[in-house]
Amino acid sequence: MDAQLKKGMLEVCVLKVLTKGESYGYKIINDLSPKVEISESTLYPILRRLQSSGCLTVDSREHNGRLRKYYNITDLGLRRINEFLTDWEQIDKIYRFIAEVQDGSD
Amino acid sequence: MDQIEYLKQLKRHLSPLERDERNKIIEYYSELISDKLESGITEQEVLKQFGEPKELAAKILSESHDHEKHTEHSDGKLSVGRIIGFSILIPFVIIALAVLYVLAVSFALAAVGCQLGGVFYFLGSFFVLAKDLAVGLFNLGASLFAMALGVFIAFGAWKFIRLCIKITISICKAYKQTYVKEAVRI
Repeated sequence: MDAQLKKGMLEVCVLKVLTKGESYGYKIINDLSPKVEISESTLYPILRRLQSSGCLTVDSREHNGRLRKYYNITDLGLRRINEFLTDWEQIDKIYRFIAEVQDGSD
Repeated sequence: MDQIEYLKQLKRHLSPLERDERNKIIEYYSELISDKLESGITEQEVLKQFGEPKELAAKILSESHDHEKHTEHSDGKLSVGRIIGFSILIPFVIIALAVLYVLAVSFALAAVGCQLGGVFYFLGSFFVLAKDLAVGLFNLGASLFAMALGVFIAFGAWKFIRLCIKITISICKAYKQTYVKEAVRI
């Protein structure tokens, strides 16, 4: 799959996981992995991008005598999910158009 | 290899990144390792999943590279401006640093002067003491005061010199970044 497209979708996937409440790195990967393939090294830049674009906030808190970073979705993040869903309706139309053309040529 | 050694090697392989960014990445992986250990996976297994530090670093660097491209594309002009600006500032920076160091040396000399003067005055005051008790006692007190002041100034001078060195190091780093990294980007 196109890397840029996949990256954009993974960002929305991470946001979707956060709609169920705050989460941390390891848990995000575990929540996603049954449905979406994502590695630790992929998640890091996604979290950074979402943080710098204001889609999530980070909160470092103590857990078992160490610090753990907890991520929370923001209103902007929620809006981002909605944008993705409306974008997808258009992409779906385009997809059907392309698929139709392919069928016609057969 | 344990996790401390692993993270140390990972950090070394991430040297192309800024120190701040590198530390954040190490924090992230350190947290992941701790969470995996907590979930019952052994340390060896966790590190095996991550792969060799060098391989993981290569993955991280390739990801952060296109992150950089996104954020720094527009900085092209700024980089040129920064290099020119920094170059113009060089004489002023040197003068400012020279003033700081002259001040630092004066402080240190003042401290030494106070100390030495205090000691001689202290010894001398015993001779005066033999002749005139009141003046002698006054001299004795004054010399002790001078020595104490010397210690105080020495402490201040030490702090000041350390501050000067710190400032010099950060200026050197800023210049290194400007000339090495920004230039590479252009």
